[in-house]
Order: sequence, then C-alpha cells, then structure tokens
Amino acid sequence: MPEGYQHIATPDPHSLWVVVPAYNEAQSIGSVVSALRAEGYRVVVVDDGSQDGTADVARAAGAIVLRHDLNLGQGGALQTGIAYSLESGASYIGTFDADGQHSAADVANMWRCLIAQDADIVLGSRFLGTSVGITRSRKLLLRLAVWFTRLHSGLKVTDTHNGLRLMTAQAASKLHLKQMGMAHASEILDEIAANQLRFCEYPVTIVYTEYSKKKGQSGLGSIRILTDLILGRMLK
Amino acid sequence: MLIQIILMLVFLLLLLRILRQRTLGVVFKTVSFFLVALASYVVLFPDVSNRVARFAGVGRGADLIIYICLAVGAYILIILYMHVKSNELRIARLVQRLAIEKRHIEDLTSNLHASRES
Repeated sequence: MPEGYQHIATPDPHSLWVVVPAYNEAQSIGSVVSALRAEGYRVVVVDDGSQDGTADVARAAGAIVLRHDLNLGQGGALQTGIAYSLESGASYIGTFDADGQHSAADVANMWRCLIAQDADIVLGSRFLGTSVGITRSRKLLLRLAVWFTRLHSGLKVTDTHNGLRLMTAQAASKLHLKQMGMAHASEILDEIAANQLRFCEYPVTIVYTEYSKKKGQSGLGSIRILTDLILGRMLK
Repeated sequence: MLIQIILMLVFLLLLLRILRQRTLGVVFKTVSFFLVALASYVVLFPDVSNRVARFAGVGRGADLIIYICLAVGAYILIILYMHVKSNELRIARLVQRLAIEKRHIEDLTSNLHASRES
C-alpha cells in the first residue's frame, strides 16, 4: 500500500454509494454487501435479472436493491446503479464486483487517494497491488487487455478490467455507458479520456477463488468484448 | 423457358404481397413496383443483362446479378444489424429506467411509512 494517505480523513461514509452489479450471485452477494455495510457505505445492488434469489439475499444483508426485468449485462447494471445513486443524492460513487474478489477495506484507502490527489476517479489496479490465486493464462489475458486499451484510449493504466472504482458524483454524471456487456470497462476508460477526467490508480487486492474464477470472463469472452468495442465504435 | 415462368410467378406474388400490406408506405410500394418491373424485364430478356455485364467488365449477366445481390444483401444486413442494436439500446434504457423508478417509488413509500410512525 502506498504511504502517505493514512492521515487523510474520509468524509461521512454515508455519502459514498457503492454500486454492485449482480447476476445470479446469491452465493456471494450476502458477504459482499455485509462487508461494505460494515464500513458504513450505502450499498446499491443492481440485480440484473437473476433467477437465484440474489435480490432477497442482498436486501437481507442491508443493500438497496434495484431489479432489471431483463438481463442486460454488467455495463447496463452499473449504469442503472450509478444513475439511481446520482438521483438519490450521492456525493461519491463506487463500483464493486459481486463475486467477492474485491476487499471492502480497499475502498476507504481509494477514497483517501481520490481526495489526496484531487482526482475525479480512482481505478483499482491488481497489477500495482496483489492478486491471490491468479492463473498464468488470466494474467496474460489481462496484460493483453491493458496493452490494447492503452493503445485504444491513450490512457496509461496498469489494469483495465478491474471492477473496483471510486469517483465523484460529478465524474459519474459524465459516464453514459452504452456497452451493456463486459466492454463497459474499456468504455469507462474511453469516457475518462474523452471528458479529460483526472484519474489515478490505486493498488488493490484481488482474491481469486474457485467461485470468482468460474464467474469471471473466459478467453472467449474477451474476443466478444473486442467485437463489442469495435462494433460500438463503428456504429457510434 | 420454365425458369422464366417460375421467377415471374415469384415476382408477381411478392409484389402482390407488398401492395396489399397496409403498413407499408406509398414510396416503398412504388420503389418495389419498379424494382419488380426491372427484375421481370431482365428475366424475360436475359440478353440485356449480358450486354450490361459486358459493359461493366463482367463475363455473364448471371454473374453480374449475383455480384449485385451479394452487395445489396450485405448492405441490408448491416442496416438491419444497426437497427437491432439501436433497438437493443432503447429496450435497455427502458429496463434501466423502470428499475430506477420502481426503486424511487419504494423509497417514497418507505419514507412515508417512517414519517407516519414517528
């Protein structure tokens, strides 16, 4: 962890709304919500048309739950959660994966980093931080994604597909995600570049469990992301 | 020849279908009429297409027609794909709005209950 942010006080935890997109995550969503609630944040779970009772588990754990009647994809769920949080008066908005790969303790440090650096958005980076249980092929795949995104958006980032982010309400209001699927991660970076948002990266811990690996993107999925991106560009 | 009769019948049925469809506009129907007329002309007088093909630098009229069909088909496919994508986005925006509005209503009612109780 980088030194120097510890002395910075974070604002009232209630002003941070953490958006957690979830699709059939009943197994993990409860502990994810509880961990975030324990830090005092408001947690907005967007149930993306799950059939396994994700919404009930999340609600029981203390989350504000929104439900999509159709499955749109992670990008779509994020946009819904961000829009709702903005309309409900959030000052800061975070994004957090539902499969339990992130650590809730990283959020406060990222928040301090955002304030200290006077940035608009902080992106979690597993390559600056630590990844527990990452496979070689996944590492290679993510590196390739980073390389491609750097080329594509011109942003010097070390991890492009990290679900842990924190931004100001003002920055969040500039995101208008059109990519409903997984290509939204690159789209967010594009929007950062287009709107000239000040961003910084913060090292975070990613824990790869059998569960999160199963729920994560396969190599084939990344080809889909790429096609989505290229077509999205062409049809803009 | 038999193929000419079959094709003419197909064209005629197609045109009848289009003309009887009430949801289609006058412009679409007029364009369809002229396209079917042109296609029928080429079917009935195949030598015309051969001459046009030679003029365009293609060996046979039938080849020229295949090339044109492929190009038009690809164009239509792309246009349809774009329509599908834009409709997908519109449906997604509806689903998102619906989820947000439903939540707002829940928030309002729970606030109301809370204020009544206190």
